[in-house]
Amino acid sequence: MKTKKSQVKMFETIAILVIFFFLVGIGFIFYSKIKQTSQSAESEEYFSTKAIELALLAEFMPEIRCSADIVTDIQNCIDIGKLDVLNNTGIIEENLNYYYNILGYSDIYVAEIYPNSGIVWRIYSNPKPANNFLGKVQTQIPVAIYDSISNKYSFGVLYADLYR
Amino acid sequence: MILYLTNTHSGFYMQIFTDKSKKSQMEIMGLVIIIILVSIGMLLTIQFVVKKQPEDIRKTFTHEQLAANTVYALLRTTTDCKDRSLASLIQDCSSNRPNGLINCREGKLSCEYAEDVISSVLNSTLEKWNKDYYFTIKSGTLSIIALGSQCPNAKTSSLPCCPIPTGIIAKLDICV
Repeated sequence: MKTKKSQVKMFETIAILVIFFFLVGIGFIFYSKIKQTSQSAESEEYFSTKAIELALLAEFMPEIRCSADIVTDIQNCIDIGKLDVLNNTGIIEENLNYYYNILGYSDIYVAEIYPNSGIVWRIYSNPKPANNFLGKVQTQIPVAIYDSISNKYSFGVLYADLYR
Repeated sequence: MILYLTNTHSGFYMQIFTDKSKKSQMEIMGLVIIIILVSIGMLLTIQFVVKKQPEDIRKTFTHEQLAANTVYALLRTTTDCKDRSLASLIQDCSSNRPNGLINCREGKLSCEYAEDVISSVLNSTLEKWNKDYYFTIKSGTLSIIALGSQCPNAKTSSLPCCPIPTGIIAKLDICV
């Protein structure tokens, strides 16, 4: 009966090994799922950081900010004269390569809310091609739009749309 | 179980050897497997508990700068009421309670006109972006203007701000 006994023992050993590797396999699958989730969270975090970077770059662009000689308190102040020039002359489109290195695939525009709602100035427009579009994230920054001729401030919003 | 019969000078000697070595090996292997599984489980648990979910950085930044910039830009805005800034209308409202003295358009006085302008701007911005808020302007403990509703849970507040002198504080809470 020794042979049968040893066969039973071997079978037991094999069964334990099978269960062990089965558990290791489950653990590995579980770990890889968690890693996948963590990687997509990191990617989302990176994209969020890029969106903040873009918003700050847009807010502090010297091409639109109020000049310190004219306005002493220039915190989130935008000059309407500069907006008109950018919107009407297309200077940024002519230098798209330069601005692409700074702003990437994004849209930056300013909309007046009060007193005249509906006025929009397009500063930079470089959306991703339609066949490569994966969505976009918008950041809104309230700004004071200063008119140096009339010495008045309007309330506006600077929109920075970043494409994925 | 192994039986040994030994013939010694004093007689037969029986020794019994049980198969303990293989049994103990199996027991140890079982223990090792359990320890490995428990260790992996603990490592994963620690990874979840200790490693915090990354905060939504963009959301935090957006709320903070939105609150601060909205208040700052609002107070500097020039209104249609005799080309006065919102800050000066609020100051007049605070100094000449309850309605203010400056006569604006449509027969409204400074307090009502300022509140209308602020309400219109916040409706076109924060409400349109589906952000709950609570905007207050206070002079000491007295509330001059209060718009929106108090945040039930967490909120991001603007810092006490800007160009209104004489102890008037404008504050915007954006509910998280």
